[in-house]
Amino acid sequence: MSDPARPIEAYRSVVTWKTSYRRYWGEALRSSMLEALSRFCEGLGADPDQIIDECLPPAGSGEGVLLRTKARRKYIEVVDRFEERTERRTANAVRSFLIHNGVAMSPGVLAAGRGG
Amino acid sequence: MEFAEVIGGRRSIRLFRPWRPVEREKLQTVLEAMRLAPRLLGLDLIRIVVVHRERLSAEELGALKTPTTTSQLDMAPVLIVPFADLGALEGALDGASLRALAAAGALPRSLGWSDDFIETTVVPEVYRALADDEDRVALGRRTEDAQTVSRRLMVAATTALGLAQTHGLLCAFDQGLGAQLSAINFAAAKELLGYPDDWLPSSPIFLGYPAESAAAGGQRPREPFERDFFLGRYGVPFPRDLEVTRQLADEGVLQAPAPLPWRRAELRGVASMLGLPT
Repeated sequence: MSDPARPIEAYRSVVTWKTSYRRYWGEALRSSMLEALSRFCEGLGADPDQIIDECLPPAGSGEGVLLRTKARRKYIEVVDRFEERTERRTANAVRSFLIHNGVAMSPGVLAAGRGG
Repeated sequence: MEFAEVIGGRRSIRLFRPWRPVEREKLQTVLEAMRLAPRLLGLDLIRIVVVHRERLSAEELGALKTPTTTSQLDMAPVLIVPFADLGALEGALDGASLRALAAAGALPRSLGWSDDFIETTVVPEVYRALADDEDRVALGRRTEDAQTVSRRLMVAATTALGLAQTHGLLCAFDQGLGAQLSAINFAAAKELLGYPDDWLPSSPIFLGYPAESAAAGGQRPREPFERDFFLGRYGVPFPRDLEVTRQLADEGVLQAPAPLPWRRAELRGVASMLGLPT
C-alpha cells in the first residue's frame, strides 16, 4: 500500500465496491474480503485506487482502449498468481473488487466444479 | 417442446454444468438443424467445426480464451464454431446447385425459373457479378496483402451465419440444452482448427447443460414493441394487440420478465458451486 496508515475502506474504489456489492447481492462485504484485498495490495505495493485507475484511466486522460485492455489482462494474470499463493476464495475477493469497479474478470472454473 | 415454448424459453445461457457432457445424438440434432437453415442466394456457405472441451489440452483451451470468456470456456463441454466458406461462390458458378433446386421444385417454373434462366441470367448477373464486384472488403486484418472479398458476398455470408446460428440455438433449447453465442480467440482458433483462409469465422455456440434453471432468471428485457416495429413507414408504430400478447403468454412465448425474485440467490449459488467470484 502506498499509505499504510490509511484504512483500506477509505479508498474511493473500496467505497464503490462496498456500495455496489451491497446493492447487487443485498448484503455487506465480509471482513475477510477486505482483508484479502489489503493483502493483495500489500503484495503489489499499490493501493486500490491505483489499481482501478490503471485499468480504467479517467476519461480525457489520453489513454486508449488498448492500454486499458492490456492493464486488465495484466491484473487477470496477477490475480491468478495471487490465487496460487493463497486460495480461490481469497483471490475471488480481489476479483470481486475489480468486477464491482467495472473491470471484468472471468476466472477459470474450479477443477472441482469441472470434475464434480 | 412446443415451438412457442422454444421461442419464449430460449436464453443466452452463460453458466453451464461443466461435468455433464452433451449426448452425441443431441449434438448431431443441433448440427442437422443448422444444416437446414435458409441459404442466402442458394449458396452452400455454412461450415462447422465441433470442438469438445475435454479433448483440448490445457494450453489449447487457454489459447482459445478471451479475457471475458474464460469461465464459459471452462464450463461449456461443446463449442460449435460456424464459418462461412466464401469460396463457395466460386463453386456455385457452374449453376449446378441452382439447377438442383429447380429440379427439386423449389424454384417454380411459373416464377420464371428454368435451366436457361439460371445459365444465362442468374449465374452471370448474380453470382458472377458478386464474384467480380469491385466493392471489396478485407478478410481478416486490413493489411496490404490481405485477401479481399465482395462486400455484398460478405453481407450474404454474415446473414447466412446468423440464420444457421439461430437454428442451432433454438434447436439446442428444444433438446433441453443451454446455449450461448459467445467469443473465442480466433487467431488461436485458426491455428488449432486449421480452417482454410477463405472461411469467415463467426461467434461460436457454447453448448451444454445449464447450471442455472431453465428460466435463467426470467425473460430478458426488450425495448417496447411499438418503438422498434413499424407499419408501412418508419415512424408509424405497428399497433400491438393486447389480446395477441395474452395468447402468447398462455402459449409460453411471452414469459415472466427478468429478474425473477430469486435470481440473485440463484446466481450466488451457481457462483459458489463453480468457484466464481461474487
